[in-house]
Amino acid sequence: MLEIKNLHVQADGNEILKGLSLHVGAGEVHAIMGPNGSGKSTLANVLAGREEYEVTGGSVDFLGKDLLELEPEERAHLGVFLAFQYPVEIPGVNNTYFLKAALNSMRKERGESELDAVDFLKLVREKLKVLHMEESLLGRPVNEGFSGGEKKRNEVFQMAVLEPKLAILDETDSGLDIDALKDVAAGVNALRSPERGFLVVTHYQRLLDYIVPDFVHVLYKGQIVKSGGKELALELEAKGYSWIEEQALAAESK
Amino acid sequence: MTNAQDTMHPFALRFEELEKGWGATGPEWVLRLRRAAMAAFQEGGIPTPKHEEWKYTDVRELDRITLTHADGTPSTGADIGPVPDLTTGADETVVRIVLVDGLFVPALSDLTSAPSGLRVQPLSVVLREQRAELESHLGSVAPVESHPFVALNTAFFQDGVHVFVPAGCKERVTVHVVHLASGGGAAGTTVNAAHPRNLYVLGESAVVRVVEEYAASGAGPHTDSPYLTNPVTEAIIGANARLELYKVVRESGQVFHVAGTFARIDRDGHLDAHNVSQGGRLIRNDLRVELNGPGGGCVLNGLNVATGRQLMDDHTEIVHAVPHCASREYYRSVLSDESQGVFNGKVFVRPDAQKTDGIQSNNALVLSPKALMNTKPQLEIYADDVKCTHGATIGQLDPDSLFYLRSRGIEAETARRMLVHAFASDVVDRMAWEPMRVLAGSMLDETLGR
Repeated sequence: MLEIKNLHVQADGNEILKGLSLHVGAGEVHAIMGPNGSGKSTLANVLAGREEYEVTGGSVDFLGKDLLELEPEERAHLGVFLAFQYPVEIPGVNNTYFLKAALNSMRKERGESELDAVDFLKLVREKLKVLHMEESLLGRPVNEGFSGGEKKRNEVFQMAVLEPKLAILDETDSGLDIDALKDVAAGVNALRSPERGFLVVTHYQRLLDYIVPDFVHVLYKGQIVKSGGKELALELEAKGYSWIEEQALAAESK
Repeated sequence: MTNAQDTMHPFALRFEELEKGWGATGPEWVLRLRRAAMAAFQEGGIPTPKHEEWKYTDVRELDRITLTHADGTPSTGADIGPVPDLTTGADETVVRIVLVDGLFVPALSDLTSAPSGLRVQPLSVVLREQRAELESHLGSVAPVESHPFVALNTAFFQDGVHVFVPAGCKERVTVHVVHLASGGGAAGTTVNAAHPRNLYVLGESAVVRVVEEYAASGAGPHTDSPYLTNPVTEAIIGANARLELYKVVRESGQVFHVAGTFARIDRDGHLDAHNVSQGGRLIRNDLRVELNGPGGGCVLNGLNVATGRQLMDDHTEIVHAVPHCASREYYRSVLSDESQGVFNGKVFVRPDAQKTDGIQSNNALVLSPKALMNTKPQLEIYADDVKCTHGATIGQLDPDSLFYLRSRGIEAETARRMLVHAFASDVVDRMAWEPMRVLAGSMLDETLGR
């Protein structure tokens, strides 16, 4: 469903992604791991359409469309969802109002009728349970005053309501305690289906104990330098990233 | 030698003409008030940007045109277009009083619904009745020396609105005070100035809501020539009384709206002053509150929505004269195009005013690179046991918030609208009267929908 070919991306004049290629098929869970500064978050944000990044080469095809040509909301309508590493606090915008506006814009795009308040509430209540979220969070402004765990739960909750085709999780596990991590993983696992692809960006192997990936890729200096199955994550856990760095250096000097 | 009249300010000449008529019809003390005001005005005339209080707000054009007031013949109402009805949907009793170009128009007003005891009358009528208590109220809160446009209003007002709420009166009633500008072109008149004068007096424990609305009548002023709307409102709030005051400015065209609202609050009394401004060429609101009795308080809450080359200027002044008073002040400006905003918030805490509790905040959302905001908090605190904070921000729409909303499938325009409403939401939500929240919301939509 997602085909990234030789992607080059700059931010503030620095090249961050240097020819990245990746194929994600429907129903697959891909984990992207790598040390800080390797370009993991850049990849996640470029796919969602953040404007600060400049694509200087390569292509991204999603469900037969050129993703890079589309506005962020058009990507969302097509089924791309990014769970933010740092969810934005938006004072003055009520969580329910926001999510209802988002869901109804998706439904409108798909030619479905808008959900009324009753049906909407029924839908969100079910999803809240999976994530062990208090219903009172719905009445509050988007992410304002939320704890770190509440913010990340809220991201996965939005994902559950919007039901994307490609879910990108940008370090959704970072900074979470074990209960929150389990809730977030349960929310993600509940969404796993043969029609849905996942790109799980993480720094730590721990998350992958709960969200078991089909593929693990190591991103280093803007390129995928190693790919493998879930056992690769365990190897990284045991050996650390320096092992990858040494291998990459050795390859460069050859 | 030049003739003395050649060197006289046009306002002074006009005053001399009118003085004879006023001497014949009004009480002597009002004439004295007018003369003192005219003398005060002549000290400085129309202020220039050299005047500290008028640094960013240039009204000198008013000195270059001949201002002509309505001739004293009240309109029959027939020549006036549709009167905006803000109170649609209000489920309480509404008393409506309409003035056009500063003159009372009976045909458009409905004073019959006023509950017994509560008086809503044209000021001219009350003055003719020679009611003694008026002398101690009119001009007692609005200072002519420091405010040239208050002086101008005091010298020239022809009519206005008097609301008297007797002690203990708690009727659920909204007094809708409508000031329309016909001016320029309407029915061939040349009227281009109005100086309406409002006086609200609340007795002990009285409660009332007053909605003061300034707008163009259906017919005008639509021309390119300037029009001066120069209202002054005085509110005298008795012990434990509460005034909920809304001032809505929906001017149009080349209107200079230069206004002053002045309130004096007795012990345990309270003022909620909500200001919503849109339209016109220049809107200047001076708002001064004296907290004169312990336990008194006020909330000043304002929303300005400016577009084009409009300028909107709020000068507020809260005087904590006695201990144990609380003041809250929240102003928000949404500025598009080449519009400008000015905020000057003075808070004076006198030496005796211990335990004062004051909060002031002023935030501007600048939607265009050419829009401009000048903001200046000015706190002068002479007591040592007080709690006073202030804060001001000027910013654009947050790109991270915008991206967050869009990444969830919300269209860019809708996302912008959500964020603009969010910016104004705390001020809008503070307005207890629903029709005003609806109006504020539609003003924000209008500014984005252009």
